[in-house]
Amino acid sequence: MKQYIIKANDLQKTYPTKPPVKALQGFSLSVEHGEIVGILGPNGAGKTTFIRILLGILLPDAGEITVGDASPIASPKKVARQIRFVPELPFLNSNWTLWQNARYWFSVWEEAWAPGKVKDLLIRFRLIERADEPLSRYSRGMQQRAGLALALASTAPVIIMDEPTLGLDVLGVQETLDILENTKDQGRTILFASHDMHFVEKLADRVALVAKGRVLETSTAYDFRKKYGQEYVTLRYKLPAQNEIISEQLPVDASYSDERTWNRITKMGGTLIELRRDLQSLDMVVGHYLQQNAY
Amino acid sequence: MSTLKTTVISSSFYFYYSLLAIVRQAQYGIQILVMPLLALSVFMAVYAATRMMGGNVKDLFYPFLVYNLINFPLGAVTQISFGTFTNTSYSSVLLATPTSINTLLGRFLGDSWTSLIGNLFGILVAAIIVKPTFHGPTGVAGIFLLLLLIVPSIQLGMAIGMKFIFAHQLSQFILLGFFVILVLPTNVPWLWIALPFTASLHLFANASLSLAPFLYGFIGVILWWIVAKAILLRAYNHYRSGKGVDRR
Repeated sequence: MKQYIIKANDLQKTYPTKPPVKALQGFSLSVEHGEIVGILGPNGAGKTTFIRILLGILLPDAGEITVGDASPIASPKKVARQIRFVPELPFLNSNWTLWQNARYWFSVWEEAWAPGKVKDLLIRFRLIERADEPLSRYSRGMQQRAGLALALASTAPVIIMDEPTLGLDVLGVQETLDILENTKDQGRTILFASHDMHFVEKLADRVALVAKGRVLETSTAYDFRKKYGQEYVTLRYKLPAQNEIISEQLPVDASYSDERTWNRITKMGGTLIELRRDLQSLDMVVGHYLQQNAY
Repeated sequence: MSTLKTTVISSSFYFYYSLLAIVRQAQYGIQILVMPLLALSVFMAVYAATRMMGGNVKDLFYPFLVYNLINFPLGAVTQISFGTFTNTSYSSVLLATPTSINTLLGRFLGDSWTSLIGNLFGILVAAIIVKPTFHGPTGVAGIFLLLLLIVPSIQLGMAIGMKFIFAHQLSQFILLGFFVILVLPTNVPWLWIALPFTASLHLFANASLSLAPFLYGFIGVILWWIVAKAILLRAYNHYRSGKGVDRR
Protein backbone atom coordinates (compact mmCIF):
# COMPACT_ATOMS: atom_id res chain seq x y z
CA MET A 1 0.00 0.00 0.00
CA LYS A 2 1.31 3.43 -0.96
CA GLN A 3 2.25 5.73 1.89
CA TYR A 4 1.74 9.37 1.01
CA ILE A 5 3.57 12.10 2.88
CA ILE A 6 1.92 14.95 0.95
CA LYS A 7 -1.76 14.80 0.07
CA ALA A 8 -3.60 17.73 -1.52
CA ASN A 9 -7.19 17.30 -2.53
CA ASP A 10 -9.31 19.73 -4.56
CA LEU A 11 -7.56 22.90 -3.39
CA GLN A 12 -9.19 26.16 -4.40
CA LYS A 13 -7.62 29.58 -4.06
CA THR A 14 -8.75 32.90 -5.45
CA TYR A 15 -6.68 36.01 -4.70
CA PRO A 16 -8.94 38.81 -3.48
CA THR A 17 -7.73 41.29 -6.08
CA LYS A 18 -9.80 43.42 -8.42
CA PRO A 19 -10.65 41.51 -10.55
CA PRO A 20 -10.12 38.32 -8.47
CA VAL A 21 -7.46 35.89 -9.73
CA LYS A 22 -8.30 32.19 -9.61
CA ALA A 23 -4.93 30.68 -8.77
CA LEU A 24 -6.01 27.13 -7.85
CA GLN A 25 -9.12 25.44 -9.21
CA GLY A 26 -9.30 21.90 -7.88
CA PHE A 27 -5.58 21.24 -7.41
CA SER A 28 -4.97 17.64 -6.30
CA LEU A 29 -1.60 15.97 -5.88
CA SER A 30 -0.20 13.16 -3.73
CA VAL A 31 3.48 12.47 -3.11
CA GLU A 32 4.78 9.21 -1.66
CA HIS A 33 7.44 8.89 1.02
CA GLY A 34 10.89 9.14 -0.58
CA GLU A 35 9.52 10.18 -3.95
CA ILE A 36 10.91 13.03 -6.06
CA VAL A 37 8.16 14.89 -7.87
CA GLY A 38 8.70 17.75 -10.32
CA ILE A 39 5.89 20.22 -10.97
CA LEU A 40 5.82 21.56 -14.51
CA GLY A 41 3.64 24.26 -15.95
CA PRO A 42 3.50 27.68 -17.55
CA ASN A 43 3.85 30.91 -15.57
CA GLY A 44 0.74 31.61 -13.51
CA ALA A 45 -0.29 27.94 -13.52
CA GLY A 46 -0.53 27.86 -9.70
CA LYS A 47 2.78 26.16 -8.83
CA THR A 48 3.99 28.80 -6.37
CA THR A 49 0.52 29.24 -4.86
CA PHE A 50 0.40 25.50 -4.18
CA ILE A 51 3.87 25.56 -2.63
CA ARG A 52 2.90 28.48 -0.36
CA ILE A 53 -0.25 26.64 0.76
CA LEU A 54 1.85 23.53 1.38
CA LEU A 55 4.21 25.59 3.54
CA GLY A 56 1.29 26.94 5.59
CA ILE A 57 1.93 30.53 4.52
CA LEU A 58 -1.19 30.89 2.42
CA LEU A 59 -4.67 29.62 3.26
CA PRO A 60 -6.76 27.90 0.58
CA ASP A 61 -10.41 28.87 0.14
CA ALA A 62 -11.42 25.19 0.05
CA GLY A 63 -9.90 21.73 -0.16
CA GLU A 64 -7.72 19.60 2.05
CA ILE A 65 -3.99 19.27 2.41
CA THR A 66 -1.76 17.28 4.76
CA VAL A 67 1.96 16.79 5.25
CA GLY A 68 2.48 13.59 7.22
CA ASP A 69 -0.31 13.72 9.77
CA ALA A 70 -0.45 17.51 10.04
CA SER A 71 -2.38 20.10 8.10
CA PRO A 72 -0.52 23.25 7.04
CA ILE A 73 -3.83 25.10 7.40
CA ALA A 74 -4.44 24.19 11.04
CA SER A 75 -0.92 23.29 12.26
CA PRO A 76 1.63 25.19 10.15
CA LYS A 77 4.26 24.92 12.90
CA LYS A 78 4.03 21.11 12.93
CA VAL A 79 4.39 21.07 9.14
CA ALA A 80 7.33 23.48 9.29
CA ARG A 81 9.29 20.95 11.35
CA GLN A 82 9.02 18.44 8.51
CA ILE A 83 9.75 20.73 5.57
CA ARG A 84 12.74 22.75 4.36
CA PHE A 85 12.00 25.25 1.64
CA VAL A 86 14.53 26.52 -0.90
CA PRO A 87 13.11 29.47 -2.85
CA GLU A 88 14.11 30.50 -6.36
CA LEU A 89 16.18 33.44 -5.10
CA PRO A 90 19.17 33.21 -2.74
CA PHE A 91 17.75 33.61 0.77
CA LEU A 92 20.85 33.59 2.94
CA ASN A 93 22.19 36.79 4.53
CA SER A 94 24.82 38.09 2.13
CA ASN A 95 26.64 40.06 4.86
CA TRP A 96 27.35 36.89 6.83
CA THR A 97 29.67 33.98 6.17
CA LEU A 98 28.25 30.63 5.17
CA TRP A 99 29.05 29.18 8.60
CA GLN A 100 27.23 32.05 10.31
CA ASN A 101 24.23 31.54 8.04
CA ALA A 102 24.25 27.82 8.80
CA ARG A 103 24.33 28.43 12.57
CA TYR A 104 21.49 30.96 12.34
CA TRP A 105 19.25 28.75 10.21
CA PHE A 106 19.75 25.70 12.40
CA SER A 107 18.58 27.80 15.39
CA VAL A 108 15.55 29.02 13.42
CA TRP A 109 14.73 25.47 12.33
CA GLU A 110 15.06 24.34 15.97
CA GLU A 111 17.55 21.68 14.95
CA ALA A 112 20.58 20.51 16.92
CA TRP A 113 23.68 22.18 15.49
CA ALA A 114 25.46 19.64 13.26
CA PRO A 115 28.69 21.24 11.98
CA GLY A 116 30.02 17.89 10.74
CA LYS A 117 27.04 17.29 8.52
CA VAL A 118 27.11 20.87 7.24
CA LYS A 119 30.81 20.52 6.47
CA ASP A 120 30.19 17.32 4.48
CA LEU A 121 27.54 19.05 2.38
CA LEU A 122 29.73 22.10 1.82
CA ILE A 123 32.53 19.83 0.61
CA ARG A 124 30.16 18.09 -1.79
CA PHE A 125 28.87 21.43 -3.06
CA ARG A 126 32.49 22.70 -3.42
CA LEU A 127 31.78 25.58 -1.04
CA ILE A 128 33.93 24.64 1.94
CA GLU A 129 36.98 26.63 0.88
CA ARG A 130 34.98 29.86 0.87
CA ALA A 131 32.70 29.08 3.80
CA ASP A 132 34.38 31.75 5.96
CA GLU A 133 33.78 34.51 3.43
CA PRO A 134 30.66 36.72 3.42
CA LEU A 135 28.16 35.56 0.82
CA SER A 136 28.25 38.95 -0.91
CA ARG A 137 31.49 37.71 -2.51
CA TYR A 138 29.76 34.61 -3.91
CA SER A 139 28.25 34.40 -7.37
CA ARG A 140 24.47 34.10 -7.54
CA GLY A 141 24.77 30.41 -8.42
CA MET A 142 27.02 29.79 -5.41
CA GLN A 143 24.55 31.53 -3.11
CA GLN A 144 21.76 29.36 -4.49
CA ARG A 145 23.82 26.20 -3.95
CA ALA A 146 24.67 27.33 -0.43
CA GLY A 147 20.96 27.60 0.43
CA LEU A 148 20.31 24.14 -0.95
CA ALA A 149 23.28 22.70 0.93
CA LEU A 150 21.92 23.99 4.26
CA ALA A 151 18.45 22.61 3.53
CA LEU A 152 19.97 19.21 2.77
CA ALA A 153 22.09 19.35 5.93
CA SER A 154 18.91 19.54 8.00
CA THR A 155 17.09 16.42 9.12
CA ALA A 156 13.67 17.40 7.73
CA PRO A 157 12.16 14.57 5.68
CA VAL A 158 10.69 16.83 2.98
CA ILE A 159 12.51 19.35 0.78
CA ILE A 160 10.47 21.81 -1.28
CA MET A 161 12.27 23.73 -4.01
CA ASP A 162 11.01 26.49 -6.26
CA GLU A 163 13.07 26.78 -9.46
CA PRO A 164 16.23 25.21 -7.99
CA THR A 165 18.31 25.74 -11.14
CA LEU A 166 17.45 29.41 -11.70
CA GLY A 167 20.70 31.32 -12.18
CA LEU A 168 22.93 28.25 -12.11
CA ASP A 169 25.47 27.61 -14.86
CA VAL A 170 25.72 24.23 -16.63
CA LEU A 171 28.21 22.92 -14.08
CA GLY A 172 26.11 24.17 -11.17
CA VAL A 173 23.01 22.44 -12.56
CA GLN A 174 24.92 19.19 -12.99
CA GLU A 175 26.37 19.35 -9.47
CA THR A 176 22.95 20.05 -7.99
CA LEU A 177 21.52 17.18 -9.98
CA ASP A 178 24.24 14.79 -8.81
CA ILE A 179 23.76 15.70 -5.16
CA LEU A 180 19.98 15.52 -5.27
CA GLU A 181 20.11 12.17 -7.06
CA ASN A 182 22.30 10.90 -4.23
CA THR A 183 19.67 11.90 -1.69
CA LYS A 184 17.30 9.38 -3.26
CA ASP A 185 18.97 6.68 -1.19
CA GLN A 186 18.30 8.62 2.02
CA GLY A 187 14.54 8.32 1.57
CA ARG A 188 14.07 12.07 1.50
CA THR A 189 10.93 13.34 -0.24
CA ILE A 190 11.56 16.15 -2.71
CA LEU A 191 8.92 18.27 -4.40
CA PHE A 192 10.08 20.96 -6.77
CA ALA A 193 8.73 23.34 -9.40
CA SER A 194 10.92 24.01 -12.40
CA HIS A 195 10.95 25.21 -15.99
CA ASP A 196 14.20 23.32 -16.64
CA MET A 197 12.87 20.21 -18.39
CA HIS A 198 16.25 18.50 -18.59
CA PHE A 199 16.63 18.86 -14.83
CA VAL A 200 13.07 17.65 -14.22
CA GLU A 201 13.50 14.64 -16.48
CA LYS A 202 16.80 13.65 -14.91
CA LEU A 203 15.74 14.06 -11.29
CA ALA A 204 12.01 13.48 -10.92
CA ASP A 205 10.53 10.02 -10.34
CA ARG A 206 7.26 11.55 -11.42
CA VAL A 207 6.18 14.81 -13.05
CA ALA A 208 2.95 16.70 -12.43
CA LEU A 209 1.84 18.91 -15.29
CA VAL A 210 -0.03 21.92 -13.95
CA ALA A 211 -2.06 24.53 -15.81
CA LYS A 212 -4.86 26.91 -14.89
CA GLY A 213 -4.69 26.00 -11.22
CA ARG A 214 -4.99 22.22 -11.43
CA VAL A 215 -2.92 19.13 -12.08
CA LEU A 216 -3.61 17.85 -15.59
CA GLU A 217 -1.40 14.75 -15.62
CA THR A 218 0.98 12.91 -13.34
CA SER A 219 3.30 10.23 -14.67
CA THR A 220 6.97 9.53 -15.20
CA ALA A 221 8.62 11.88 -17.67
CA TYR A 222 9.20 8.96 -20.05
CA ASP A 223 5.56 7.83 -19.95
CA PHE A 224 4.45 11.39 -20.58
CA ARG A 225 6.73 11.67 -23.62
CA LYS A 226 5.55 8.30 -24.86
CA LYS A 227 1.87 9.12 -24.39
CA TYR A 228 1.82 12.60 -25.89
CA GLY A 229 5.08 12.99 -27.77
CA GLN A 230 5.72 12.01 -31.34
CA GLU A 231 8.32 9.41 -32.22
CA TYR A 232 10.94 10.52 -34.69
CA VAL A 233 13.97 9.08 -36.47
CA THR A 234 17.38 10.67 -36.48
CA LEU A 235 19.10 9.80 -39.72
CA ARG A 236 22.78 10.38 -40.56
CA TYR A 237 24.23 9.37 -43.92
CA LYS A 238 26.93 10.24 -46.42
CA LEU A 239 26.55 10.65 -50.22
CA PRO A 240 29.42 9.62 -52.55
CA ALA A 241 29.86 13.05 -54.12
CA GLN A 242 29.88 14.89 -50.82
CA ASN A 243 32.31 14.79 -47.94
CA GLU A 244 29.82 16.13 -45.38
CA ILE A 245 27.58 13.94 -43.23
CA ILE A 246 23.91 14.73 -43.82
CA SER A 247 21.54 14.72 -40.82
CA GLU A 248 17.77 14.49 -40.98
CA GLN A 249 14.98 14.15 -38.46
CA LEU A 250 11.87 12.41 -39.74
CA PRO A 251 8.55 12.04 -37.91
CA VAL A 252 7.46 8.45 -37.44
CA ASP A 253 3.94 8.57 -38.86
CA ALA A 254 1.78 6.16 -40.87
CA SER A 255 3.77 6.77 -44.04
CA TYR A 256 7.17 6.10 -42.46
CA SER A 257 9.11 2.85 -42.59
CA ASP A 258 12.78 2.08 -41.92
CA GLU A 259 12.91 0.01 -45.11
CA ARG A 260 11.73 2.86 -47.34
CA THR A 261 14.27 5.21 -45.75
CA TRP A 262 17.01 2.65 -46.26
CA ASN A 263 16.03 2.20 -49.93
CA ARG A 264 15.99 5.97 -50.51
CA ILE A 265 19.57 6.35 -49.29
CA THR A 266 20.77 3.29 -51.18
CA LYS A 267 19.24 4.56 -54.44
CA MET A 268 21.27 7.78 -54.04
CA GLY A 269 24.36 5.61 -53.52
CA GLY A 270 24.69 6.84 -49.97
CA THR A 271 26.13 5.15 -46.90
CA LEU A 272 23.94 5.01 -43.78
CA ILE A 273 25.82 6.02 -40.63
CA GLU A 274 23.01 6.15 -38.08
CA LEU A 275 19.30 5.46 -37.92
CA ARG A 276 17.96 6.01 -34.42
CA ARG A 277 14.39 6.14 -33.18
CA ASP A 278 13.62 8.46 -30.30
CA LEU A 279 10.79 10.29 -28.56
CA GLN A 280 10.36 14.07 -28.63
CA SER A 281 12.03 15.84 -25.74
CA LEU A 282 9.96 16.67 -22.66
CA ASP A 283 9.94 20.42 -23.32
CA MET A 284 8.56 19.87 -26.83
CA VAL A 285 5.92 17.45 -25.59
CA VAL A 286 4.84 19.73 -22.76
CA GLY A 287 4.78 22.74 -25.11
CA HIS A 288 2.64 20.90 -27.68
CA TYR A 289 0.34 19.50 -25.03
CA LEU A 290 -0.33 22.91 -23.53
CA GLN A 291 -0.82 24.52 -26.97
CA GLN A 292 -3.20 21.81 -28.17
CA ASN A 293 -5.24 21.99 -25.00
CA ALA A 294 -5.30 25.82 -25.13
CA TYR A 295 -3.58 26.39 -21.79
CA MET B 1 11.79 24.10 22.15
CA SER B 2 9.59 27.00 23.17
CA THR B 3 8.83 29.78 20.73
CA LEU B 4 10.28 32.40 23.08
CA LYS B 5 13.53 30.46 23.48
CA THR B 6 13.92 29.99 19.71
CA THR B 7 13.13 33.65 19.06
CA VAL B 8 15.64 34.84 21.66
CA ILE B 9 18.40 32.47 20.43
CA SER B 10 17.90 33.18 16.73
CA SER B 11 17.59 36.91 17.38
CA SER B 12 20.84 36.85 19.36
CA PHE B 13 22.64 35.09 16.51
CA TYR B 14 21.14 37.58 14.07
CA PHE B 15 22.26 40.57 16.14
CA TYR B 16 25.75 39.16 16.81
CA TYR B 17 26.45 38.22 13.19
CA SER B 18 25.08 41.54 11.92
CA LEU B 19 27.36 43.34 14.36
CA LEU B 20 30.34 41.29 13.14
CA ALA B 21 29.39 42.20 9.57
CA ILE B 22 29.31 45.90 10.49
CA VAL B 23 32.73 45.63 12.15
CA ARG B 24 34.07 43.85 9.07
CA GLN B 25 32.61 46.51 6.80
CA ALA B 26 34.22 49.17 9.01
CA GLN B 27 37.53 48.01 7.56
CA TYR B 28 36.56 49.95 4.46
CA GLY B 29 37.03 53.22 6.37
CA ILE B 30 34.90 55.98 7.80
CA GLN B 31 31.80 54.87 5.89
CA ILE B 32 30.70 53.25 9.16
CA LEU B 33 30.04 56.75 10.52
CA VAL B 34 27.35 57.28 7.90
CA MET B 35 25.01 54.93 9.79
CA PRO B 36 23.70 57.41 12.38
CA LEU B 37 23.74 60.38 10.00
CA LEU B 38 20.09 60.05 8.96
CA ALA B 39 18.75 60.51 12.49
CA LEU B 40 21.48 62.95 13.43
CA SER B 41 20.75 65.20 10.43
CA VAL B 42 17.10 65.52 11.59
CA PHE B 43 18.39 66.41 15.06
CA MET B 44 20.87 68.96 13.73
CA ALA B 45 18.18 70.69 11.66
CA VAL B 46 15.98 71.09 14.76
CA TYR B 47 18.98 72.10 16.86
CA ALA B 48 19.90 74.87 14.41
CA ALA B 49 16.29 76.09 14.22
CA THR B 50 15.96 76.11 18.04
CA ARG B 51 19.16 78.13 18.45
CA MET B 52 18.09 80.62 15.80
CA MET B 53 14.78 81.09 17.63
CA GLY B 54 16.59 81.48 20.96
CA GLY B 55 15.05 78.30 22.40
CA ASN B 56 16.52 75.92 24.98
CA VAL B 57 18.55 73.32 23.08
CA LYS B 58 18.78 71.14 26.21
CA ASP B 59 15.08 70.33 25.74
CA LEU B 60 15.89 68.60 22.46
CA PHE B 61 17.93 65.72 23.81
CA TYR B 62 15.34 63.49 25.48
CA PRO B 63 12.81 63.74 22.62
CA PHE B 64 15.72 62.72 20.36
CA LEU B 65 16.46 59.75 22.64
CA VAL B 66 12.79 58.74 22.49
CA TYR B 67 12.84 59.17 18.74
CA ASN B 68 15.75 56.75 18.44
CA LEU B 69 14.41 54.16 20.87
CA ILE B 70 10.79 54.08 19.71
CA ASN B 71 10.23 55.69 16.37
CA PHE B 72 13.32 54.28 14.73
CA PRO B 73 12.45 50.61 15.42
CA LEU B 74 8.94 51.37 14.20
CA GLY B 75 9.97 53.26 11.04
CA ALA B 76 12.97 51.14 10.09
CA VAL B 77 11.12 47.86 10.75
CA THR B 78 8.12 49.07 8.71
CA GLN B 79 10.48 49.57 5.79
CA ILE B 80 12.33 46.27 6.26
CA SER B 81 9.06 44.40 6.81
CA PHE B 82 7.57 45.85 3.62
CA GLY B 83 10.67 44.83 1.67
CA THR B 84 10.53 41.33 3.17
CA PHE B 85 6.84 40.66 2.59
CA THR B 86 6.75 42.01 -0.96
CA ASN B 87 9.54 39.52 -1.76
CA THR B 88 7.45 36.37 -1.37
CA SER B 89 10.29 33.89 -1.74
CA TYR B 90 12.27 35.57 1.02
CA SER B 91 9.33 35.93 3.39
CA SER B 92 8.19 32.35 2.63
CA VAL B 93 11.50 30.81 3.66
CA LEU B 94 11.38 32.69 6.98
CA LEU B 95 7.71 31.99 7.64
CA ALA B 96 8.04 28.29 6.80
CA THR B 97 9.89 27.70 10.07
CA PRO B 98 8.58 26.21 13.32
CA THR B 99 8.36 29.61 15.00
CA SER B 100 7.00 31.25 11.84
CA ILE B 101 6.08 34.90 12.47
CA ASN B 102 8.31 34.95 15.57
CA THR B 103 11.31 34.10 13.37
CA LEU B 104 10.70 37.39 11.63
CA LEU B 105 10.10 39.16 14.93
CA GLY B 106 13.49 37.90 16.13
CA ARG B 107 15.07 39.00 12.89
CA PHE B 108 13.60 42.50 13.09
CA LEU B 109 14.56 42.71 16.74
CA GLY B 110 18.13 41.94 15.64
CA ASP B 111 17.87 44.60 12.95
CA SER B 112 16.57 47.14 15.46
CA TRP B 113 19.36 46.49 17.94
CA THR B 114 21.89 46.79 15.14
CA SER B 115 20.44 50.11 14.00
CA LEU B 116 20.26 51.29 17.61
CA ILE B 117 23.96 50.52 18.06
CA GLY B 118 24.57 52.68 15.01
CA ASN B 119 22.31 55.40 16.39
CA LEU B 120 24.15 55.31 19.67
CA PHE B 121 26.85 57.38 17.95
CA GLY B 122 24.17 59.90 17.01
CA ILE B 123 22.79 60.00 20.56
CA LEU B 124 26.32 60.49 21.94
CA VAL B 125 26.99 63.33 19.50
CA ALA B 126 23.67 64.95 20.46
CA ALA B 127 24.52 64.57 24.19
CA ILE B 128 27.93 66.18 23.67
CA ILE B 129 26.37 69.11 21.80
CA VAL B 130 23.48 69.92 24.17
CA LYS B 131 24.86 68.54 27.48
CA PRO B 132 21.49 67.40 28.89
CA THR B 133 20.71 67.16 32.59
CA PHE B 134 20.25 63.57 33.79
CA HIS B 135 18.31 62.85 36.96
CA GLY B 136 19.31 59.40 38.22
CA PRO B 137 16.16 57.50 39.34
CA THR B 138 13.69 59.28 37.05
CA GLY B 139 16.03 58.95 34.10
CA VAL B 140 16.43 55.21 34.65
CA ALA B 141 12.65 54.78 35.03
CA GLY B 142 12.10 56.70 31.76
CA ILE B 143 14.64 54.61 29.86
CA PHE B 144 13.13 51.41 31.33
CA LEU B 145 9.73 52.32 29.85
CA LEU B 146 11.30 53.16 26.49
CA LEU B 147 13.16 49.84 26.32
CA LEU B 148 9.93 47.97 27.05
CA LEU B 149 8.28 49.78 24.14
CA ILE B 150 10.78 48.46 21.58
CA VAL B 151 9.07 45.07 21.10
CA PRO B 152 5.54 46.45 20.46
CA SER B 153 7.07 49.10 18.15
CA ILE B 154 8.67 46.33 16.11
CA GLN B 155 5.42 44.33 16.08
CA LEU B 156 3.53 47.37 14.81
CA GLY B 157 6.17 48.03 12.16
CA MET B 158 5.97 44.39 11.05
CA ALA B 159 2.19 44.55 10.82
CA ILE B 160 2.22 47.78 8.79
CA GLY B 161 4.92 46.40 6.48
CA MET B 162 3.05 43.16 5.75
CA LYS B 163 -0.40 44.70 5.35
CA PHE B 164 -0.26 48.14 3.72
CA ILE B 165 0.94 48.69 0.18
CA PHE B 166 1.90 52.27 1.07
CA ALA B 167 4.05 51.07 4.00
CA HIS B 168 7.24 52.33 2.37
CA GLN B 169 5.94 55.90 2.20
CA LEU B 170 4.55 55.57 5.72
CA SER B 171 7.94 54.51 7.05
CA GLN B 172 9.48 57.67 5.62
CA PHE B 173 6.79 59.69 7.36
CA ILE B 174 7.49 57.88 10.63
CA LEU B 175 11.15 58.87 10.32
CA LEU B 176 10.00 62.47 10.73
CA GLY B 177 8.36 61.53 14.05
CA PHE B 178 10.94 63.61 15.94
CA PHE B 179 8.87 66.72 15.23
CA VAL B 180 5.71 65.07 16.60
CA ILE B 181 7.52 63.99 19.77
CA LEU B 182 8.75 67.56 20.29
CA VAL B 183 5.28 69.09 20.29
CA LEU B 184 3.39 66.45 22.30
CA PRO B 185 2.38 67.47 25.86
CA THR B 186 4.19 65.48 28.55
CA ASN B 187 1.95 66.10 31.55
CA VAL B 188 -1.37 64.56 30.43
CA PRO B 189 -2.12 61.32 32.36
CA TRP B 190 -4.28 59.68 29.68
CA LEU B 191 -1.54 60.38 27.11
CA TRP B 192 0.97 58.63 29.40
CA ILE B 193 -1.15 55.51 28.86
CA ALA B 194 -1.91 56.04 25.16
CA LEU B 195 1.68 57.02 24.26
CA PRO B 196 3.89 55.81 27.13
CA PHE B 197 6.95 57.64 25.82
CA THR B 198 5.27 60.89 26.97
CA ALA B 199 5.48 59.47 30.50
CA SER B 200 9.19 58.85 29.90
CA LEU B 201 9.63 62.45 28.74
CA HIS B 202 7.85 63.65 31.88
CA LEU B 203 10.16 61.51 34.04
CA PHE B 204 13.28 62.78 32.25
CA ALA B 205 12.23 66.39 32.92
CA ASN B 206 11.73 65.92 36.66
CA ALA B 207 14.36 65.45 39.33
CA SER B 208 12.07 63.89 41.94
CA LEU B 209 10.64 60.45 41.21
CA SER B 210 6.87 60.60 41.01
CA LEU B 211 5.08 57.26 40.91
CA ALA B 212 2.06 58.34 38.84
CA PRO B 213 3.74 58.91 35.43
CA PHE B 214 5.75 55.71 35.81
CA LEU B 215 2.69 53.61 36.70
CA TYR B 216 0.51 55.17 33.99
CA GLY B 217 3.33 54.71 31.50
CA PHE B 218 3.82 51.10 32.60
CA ILE B 219 0.11 50.36 32.14
CA GLY B 220 0.38 51.93 28.68
CA VAL B 221 3.37 49.70 27.86
CA ILE B 222 1.45 46.57 28.90
CA LEU B 223 -1.53 47.66 26.79
CA TRP B 224 0.73 48.28 23.80
CA TRP B 225 2.26 44.78 24.19
CA ILE B 226 -1.26 43.31 24.00
CA VAL B 227 -2.56 45.62 21.26
CA ALA B 228 0.54 45.39 19.05
CA LYS B 229 0.56 41.59 19.29
CA ALA B 230 -3.15 41.47 18.36
CA ILE B 231 -2.58 43.83 15.42
CA LEU B 232 0.37 41.73 14.24
CA LEU B 233 -1.61 38.47 14.39
CA ARG B 234 -4.51 40.07 12.55
CA ALA B 235 -2.17 41.41 9.87
CA TYR B 236 -0.60 37.94 9.53
CA ASN B 237 -4.02 36.32 9.15
CA HIS B 238 -4.78 38.83 6.40
CA TYR B 239 -1.43 38.02 4.80
CA ARG B 240 -2.19 34.28 4.91
CA SER B 241 -5.53 34.92 3.24
CA GLY B 242 -3.76 36.66 0.36
CA LYS B 243 -4.64 40.19 1.48
CA GLY B 244 -1.09 41.28 2.29
CA VAL B 245 1.36 43.53 0.46
CA ASP B 246 2.25 40.68 -1.91
CA ARG B 247 -1.21 40.54 -3.52
CA ARG B 248 -1.12 40.53 -7.29
